[in-house]
This record gives sequence, structure tokens and C-alpha cells, in this order.
Amino acid sequence: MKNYIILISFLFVSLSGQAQSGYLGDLNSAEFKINLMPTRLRNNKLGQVHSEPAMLSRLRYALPSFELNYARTVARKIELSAGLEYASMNLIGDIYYSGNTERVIDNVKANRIGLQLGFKYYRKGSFSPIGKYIGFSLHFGGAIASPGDGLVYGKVTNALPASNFFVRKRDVNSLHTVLDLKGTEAFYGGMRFGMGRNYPLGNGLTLNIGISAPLLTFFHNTLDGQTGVRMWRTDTISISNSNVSQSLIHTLYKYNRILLNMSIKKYF
Amino acid sequence: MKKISLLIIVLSTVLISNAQDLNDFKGLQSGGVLPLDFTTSSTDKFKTDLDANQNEDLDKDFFLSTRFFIDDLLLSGRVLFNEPLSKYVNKVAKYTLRTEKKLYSELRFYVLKSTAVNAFSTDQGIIFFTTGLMAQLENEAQLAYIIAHEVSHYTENHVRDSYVEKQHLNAGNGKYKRMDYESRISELSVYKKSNELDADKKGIDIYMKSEYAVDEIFSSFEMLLYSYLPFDEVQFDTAFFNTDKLTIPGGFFPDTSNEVSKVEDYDDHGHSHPNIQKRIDAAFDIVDGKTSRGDLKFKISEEEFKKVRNLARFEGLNMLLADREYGRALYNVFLLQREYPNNRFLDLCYVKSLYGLAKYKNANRYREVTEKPKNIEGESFILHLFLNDLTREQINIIAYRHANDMAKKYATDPIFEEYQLDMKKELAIGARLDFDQLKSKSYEEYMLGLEEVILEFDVQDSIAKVEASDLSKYEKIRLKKKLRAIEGDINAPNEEAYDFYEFGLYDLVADEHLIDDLEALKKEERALEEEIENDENTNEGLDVAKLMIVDPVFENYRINNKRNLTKSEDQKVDMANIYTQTYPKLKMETDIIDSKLLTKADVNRYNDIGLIFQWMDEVLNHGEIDMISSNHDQMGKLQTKYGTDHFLFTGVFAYKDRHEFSSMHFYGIIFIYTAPLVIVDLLVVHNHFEIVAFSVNAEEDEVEFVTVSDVNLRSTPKVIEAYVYDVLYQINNGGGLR
Repeated sequence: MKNYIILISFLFVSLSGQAQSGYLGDLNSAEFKINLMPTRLRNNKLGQVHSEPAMLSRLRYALPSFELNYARTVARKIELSAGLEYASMNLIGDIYYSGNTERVIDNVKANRIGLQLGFKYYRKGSFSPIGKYIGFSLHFGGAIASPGDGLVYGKVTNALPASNFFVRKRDVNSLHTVLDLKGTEAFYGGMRFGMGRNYPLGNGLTLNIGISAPLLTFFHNTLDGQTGVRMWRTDTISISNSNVSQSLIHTLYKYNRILLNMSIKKYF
Repeated sequence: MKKISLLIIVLSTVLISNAQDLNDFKGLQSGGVLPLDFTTSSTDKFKTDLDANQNEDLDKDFFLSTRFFIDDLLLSGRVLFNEPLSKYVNKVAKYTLRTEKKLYSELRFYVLKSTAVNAFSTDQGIIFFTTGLMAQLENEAQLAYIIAHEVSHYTENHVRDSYVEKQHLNAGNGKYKRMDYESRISELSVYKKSNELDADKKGIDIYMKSEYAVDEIFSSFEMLLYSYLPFDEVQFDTAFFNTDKLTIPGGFFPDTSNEVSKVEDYDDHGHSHPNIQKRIDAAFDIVDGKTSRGDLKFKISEEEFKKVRNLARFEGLNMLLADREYGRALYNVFLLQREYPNNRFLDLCYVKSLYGLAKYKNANRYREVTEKPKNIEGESFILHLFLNDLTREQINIIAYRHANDMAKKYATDPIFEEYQLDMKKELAIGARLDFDQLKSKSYEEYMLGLEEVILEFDVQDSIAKVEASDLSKYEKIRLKKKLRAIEGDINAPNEEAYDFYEFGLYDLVADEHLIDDLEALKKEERALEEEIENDENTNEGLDVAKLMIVDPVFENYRINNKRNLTKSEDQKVDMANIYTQTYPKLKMETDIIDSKLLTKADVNRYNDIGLIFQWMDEVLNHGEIDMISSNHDQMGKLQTKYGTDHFLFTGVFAYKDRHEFSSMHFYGIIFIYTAPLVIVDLLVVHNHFEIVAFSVNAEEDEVEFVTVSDVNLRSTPKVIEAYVYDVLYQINNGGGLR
């Protein structure tokens, strides 16, 4: 216990041993961040091929989300931040309805809004806010599906010859509409681990490039009230009338995987 | 207008530099305007000379390395030009080469501040002579021969040829093809020796065209042979440290000096120069049959020669003190005081040397500043052996005695007072002296008084009383020992045996309450120590209003660990601008002296660079010893000139490397998903840099701030700017180790 206290004291002293200079004297910053989740998932839309209804599955290279943060250098090597995050999402991936013969054809839109609290430790000779860092962040928020005509599902054929790598096309054999997701909410929370570096650009501006990964995530939705850690290992899920909102949680999960991020910070 | 102001600067600096009064010697300084060699960038020199090169054997590396290396030396602030020494060398060179006007116009002659005895030439036509060499010369003719020898190295392209030869050696080409490494080195040594003999031969040809005496060629060789000795061999006066109040018994000094052992025909295996005997023999052969045009030892001026030589000897003292060679400095003071008694500068050097010895003795670092007597040859051996055997008490008393006496002799001179006060403090605290041992009577008076007491005092009776007493065995031994010593003193007073230090300050103890002062100083120091111990907030900033940045360094290394010289030079200039730009949030003014930004009118700044680096080097060497640096008085003038006590020395060292394969990489490959990252990590060139900065306080002569960061980032100007700001901020806000 004594050694533990000495270790903690040493770490504390070494962290706060020097005064924080910030970026050319500025300790506060406003940050606009773009997160991109690299993916090969597809976004399904109900469209037409030769005037016939068809399911068009467009390749999504990256799923974007945005953050607006305030950050402050609080010790020589430590920066804290707080902010809002937003993503305009489409229900994503292959979602089957009641088994695996019929699938959701038209992925409705949803908006995700959340809060984040971040902690960054600048390492390898760097000091806040220039250079390399590792950090943790806490995220809380919710997603709400946009108003629509209901979740469209049906039977589709295999990919047509007219498909290509970017857009897969399938004929629609049958078409139904199920429960409207309008107003369906899902909540999420979790912790992420991140690392990256801040490059000074001058005039109080820095460019941040980093990567982050979820350490722990949990979800809750209003329809079936399920809460817990979700660790889907597949891109495919099956939903039914009783748990249709799982599709929203599934999408939230997809948006919460490893992210590449880039941000511009203005110091003041 | 610009030209007029330049003329005024030139005239004033020339006048100042020429008006060097040896009594108030302040160190040699360059004058006039900075020559082009100093104001042209190394990159420009490299490019110009590379473009003009017609020798296919000389590659780009030759021009890069030589131009940058010589420029480092030129811009060190240690090179003298437009002052008496270099002017005199130029006059002698002009006369010696009077039949080679074109050759003379290609050459530049500078004097380098160094205690080493050396001269060397570069392929650019720059010839350096050290002040150490100038101090050893016996006459002008010797200088003329050395000039002729060095000029011959230039005309015969020895520097360039040696480089090509070394390239062949490294590559194992030509005659080096079937040789092992040792043989190659030995062969290169032979090659270099043949260059020296060649330069001797060509040098003699040049020299023989002058009216200087032929004999001086041979005396030059002898002068070089014994150049490791002081500039004169005079028996050390054992009364040198004595004053009317302090007498050091002669028994403290050895009776004989250590014989000079070096002979002309020494083993020169592995040396770059042939031994002196070989050079003399070769010179005889060359001279034989040639007609001498004169037998002059002086052609330009004997008076000027002596003046210049003395300036070099005085400058040598400055360098010895800065290099902390206090023993050698004392011997040189002894030699020079024979010609210049009561010289203020010599007196000050004397005080500084003793002060330095006392400080290092008290800090248990005496060996750093004294010579091992067995390594000393000649007459100075006596002094070095004496210094080597001194006890802590003895050296402190000698140092304070002289600091005190000199402070009285130069009562209006604050620097002497400063040394006296600090030495008094040292006597009170650092010397760990038992004040009760200090007598208030001279040795003679003390002995007289003791005799009177003893006449009425029966020692044997006292011993008997001690033996019969109830004292412990050990107390009896101690008391009896003391009584027998008194008896011995009375019966056979032995002047050699008494410890002089006890009586060395008797007048100050008796008349000036020295012991009370020492007690008070000791008490004061204890109170200060307690105050520091109780002061919890030890990480306060320095609150520097103005900071002087001194010649920042930028060294950029390629992945093969070779310095990227041209890029380093550009980045050094960039960094100088970063340090001096205005930072609105920083309440600190900055100014810079940068050797790469000097213009031809900046000769004073150039001199300042030399002085500041000499001072900084000395302060760093003193380390934890709290003492006045030997350049403290000169630095005081720079403090006033630049308006600050704080001088920042800083550098960035940027490196490139690839990560070596480690266990982390191995596990990264085993875990197949991270294999691409491992491969990228191994292939990518990683950049990192170190930024080092430390500030030295000229008032306190101490390092007040240090910061070192190893940063895993590329050293772009914006990144450097952020780190430079951080350094400046930390100085005023409590960062850094102090």
C-alpha cells in the first residue's frame, strides 16, 4: 500500500511538475472533429431497375459523425475536453425480418446526438496540446429514427448481373411495410480509447489526427427495454415485430466501432 | 549614412582593440569589420567551391565537411582578426611572401585563442596560429618559418591530397588493397609525415628568400619540441606566496625540480608529424649549399613582437583560468610578474587562481584543477608538488590572505572586494575550519609568549599530575601528548614543522575581529539553509523580463546518422527567428546573438559570443560549486550591454531512424490482424528530436534553468515554435530543473 501511494504521488507530481504553457500561451480551444468509421457495409434503398422495384445496396466507405468540443489544457501533459457529437445515420447492414427469407429493403434515417467527455495524456516528450497523445473518452447519447412510412421489407433475388462493386442490385419479389420506427429511441453509453497527434498549423490552429476504439459500450432502447453490452460479431441481424428497434441499436453499434478522426482546433 | 556609421564603428573598435593596457588587460578582442570568411554562409561556400572544383578525386563530402567544420571554428568567437596579434602575423606574412604577391592575396591569417601550441592551414587559404604558439615564440624569424611551412601546406594541396588518400584507405584502393587495418593506418601516418617533410622543404625555400637567420629554422623545431612546457623555465620562488604577514616555511617545497625528459629523437610511430630530429636532419640537407640573405631575428619590429607575445601570454592566463588550470595559471603569473610587478591583471589572476583552488579543495574536487606532479616536467614541478600537498586549511588560508590583501591594495576595485567577500564566506563555511586554531599573534610572537609561559610551567610535573589524576585512559593520552609537544617546541623550536596556516591571518584575527565575522557568516548560512528547507514552494519561476539567447544550435541528422549540414544551417537560422519573434502572451523580451546572422559591422557581437561561451563552459564545469567565474567581471559588462543577467543556451538535435525488430513486432505479426501495422512501423522512417535549453545567470554564475525533451515528432518550424514558446514559458513559470 505504501509503495502504491508513493507511485501515485510520483505520477501526480510528474504530471503537474511543470507549468502548462499551452499552444503559444493559449490553454483553451474549440474543436470541430470529423470521425470516420471505415467500412464495407452497404446502405439499402428501394429503387428501380428497368422500371421495376429493386433493392439498391450502395457501398459505404466510411460512416461519418461530427463533434464540437471545448478543450482545456489543465496540466503540462493533460488536456480535458467536453462536447457534443452528432451523426446523421441510415440503418445500416443486412437486416432480416422474421428469419432469413425476407429482409429490410429500405433503411430509414436516424439522428444520433450525444455528449462526450475526454481526457488526453501527451506522451513521448509531447506536451499539451502539441504532439502525441493517448486518451480516454466517455460518450453518452441517443438515437432517434426519422419520421417515415414504416420499415419496408420483402423478398429479394440474388444480385443482378447489372450489379457492380459499388452498387448491388436485386429484384424485389414481394414488398411489405411493418411497424413505423418513427420516434423510436435508443440510448447508448460507453468508453473509448484513443491515440493520435496534434500538429501545430499556426495562427492558433492545430490539426489533430487520431484513431479511437470502443472499450465498452452499452445500449438501451425504448421499445423492448433491453439494456446491456452488445458484442455483435456479424453484420447480419434478424428482427421481428417485438424487437424491431434492434435495428436502430445495430446501427448505433456500427457507428461506434474503430474510428479515424480528424479535427481542427482553434486556441484562444 | 550607412557607410559613415560603419566607418565610425570600425575606427572605434580599432582604437579600442589597439589601446590594450596590460595593467588593465581585458582579454583579446577582434576589431574592425568581420571578414567575408565570417559572414558568408557555409552552404554558399560549399556550393561555390564545389562548382569551382576541378579535381575529380574530391567529392561533395570533402567540401561539405571542411567548409562547415572550419566555419564552426571561425564563428566560435575565438578567432582574432584586426587586432595586434593577427595584424602582426599579417605583417610578417606579407614580408615573408613579398615575392609571392598573388599567393599572399589568396591567404588569410587569423589567430585562434587556444592554449595549445599549433598552427594549421586549410585548403581555402585560411591559416590559423594559436595564441599558445604566439606565447612560446622566441623571435619573429620563428614565426616567419612557421608561416612559410603552413603556406606550403596550402600551395602543395596537402589538405586535399590527404582527404583523397584517406578515401583510398577507407575504400582499400590502390596500395591499400591488400593491407589490414593496422597497416593502412601506419601507411597513412607515413604519408602524412612525408607531407610534413615536404612542407618543411617548400617552407624553407620560401623562408630563404627572406632576410631572417637560417638558424631560426632549427630553433623553431626546438621551440615546438618543448612547447608542452610553460613559456619560460625559471626556478620557482618558494617565497612567492609569502607576504609580510604570511610565511610559508621552505620545507613545504621540494628541493629539486623534475628533469625535462623529451628528446629530439622520440618515437614518432603513429604520429602525423616526423620527430624533430628527422625534421632537423632533413632541414640541414635542404639548407646545405643555399645562401642566406641575412641573419635577422626581427625584421618587422622586435618591440611589436614582444608586445604581441606578452598579449598572447596574458590571454593565455585568461584561458587557463577559464579551463580551471589554476596551478599552471599561478606559474604563468609568477613568470609574468617578474616583468610586470604590481600589474592589476596579474594580481587578479593570482587571486582567482588561489580562490579556485580553495573552492575545489573544499568541494573535494581538487584533482580536477591540479596537475599530477609526476606528469610535470621542468621548474613548475616545485609549484605543482606544493599545491598537490596542501591541506584544506592551508589553501583556504593562503587564498583568503591574498584575497584580503589584494582587496586592500585595490581598495576602489569592486572585483577584488567581491573575491575577498566570497573567500571570507568560504573560509567560514566551506573550509570547515576550527576557528580556535587561528592565532592572534605571529609565529615569532607566539613562540616568545609560549616560552614565557613555559618558563613558569613545569611540563614534567604536569605530566605526573595528569597520570595521577582520575581522568580516563584516553584523556590522559591526549593531554600527555599535548604537554610533550609543548615541551618539544620549547626545547627545539622547529620552523619547518609548524603549520603556517594557524598564523597566516593573525593580524586579521587580532585587529579586525575575523573570527567574529566568520562566526556570524556561519550563523547566517545556517539560517539561510533552514529558510530554504522550510520553503515548500521551490518551483517558482524566474520572472525574467529579458532573456538573451546565445547562438542556438540546430543539428539535423540523416538516417545514416550523418549530419545534414546544409539543412542544419537553414534550420538554425529559422530557429533564431523563432526565438526572437514576439509572443503576445509571454511577458518576456528576447534578444539573440547568432553567429550565422552576423553582419560585417557585428564584430562586437562576435567577440561577445567567444566570451559568453568561455564563461558558460566554465560555469558548467564548476557545476555544484557556488563560485565566482573567472570571467565574471567581463560578463558584468555584457549584462549591462544587453540589459539582462539571463543567458539562454539552447539546441535542437533532429534524428531519423527505423525501429528495430522487437518482441512487440513479433507478437504483432503473430496476431495476424496487426501484421500490416508492424510492417509499416518497421518500414517507415521515424522522426524525433531533442530540444535542450539551459539558462545561466551571469550575476550568480549559476545554471538557473534546465530543460531537456525528447520529442517523437518531426522538427517542423511550427513544432519548434511551440517548443521554443514552452521553453520560454517554463523559465518564468517554474518548469525545468534548477
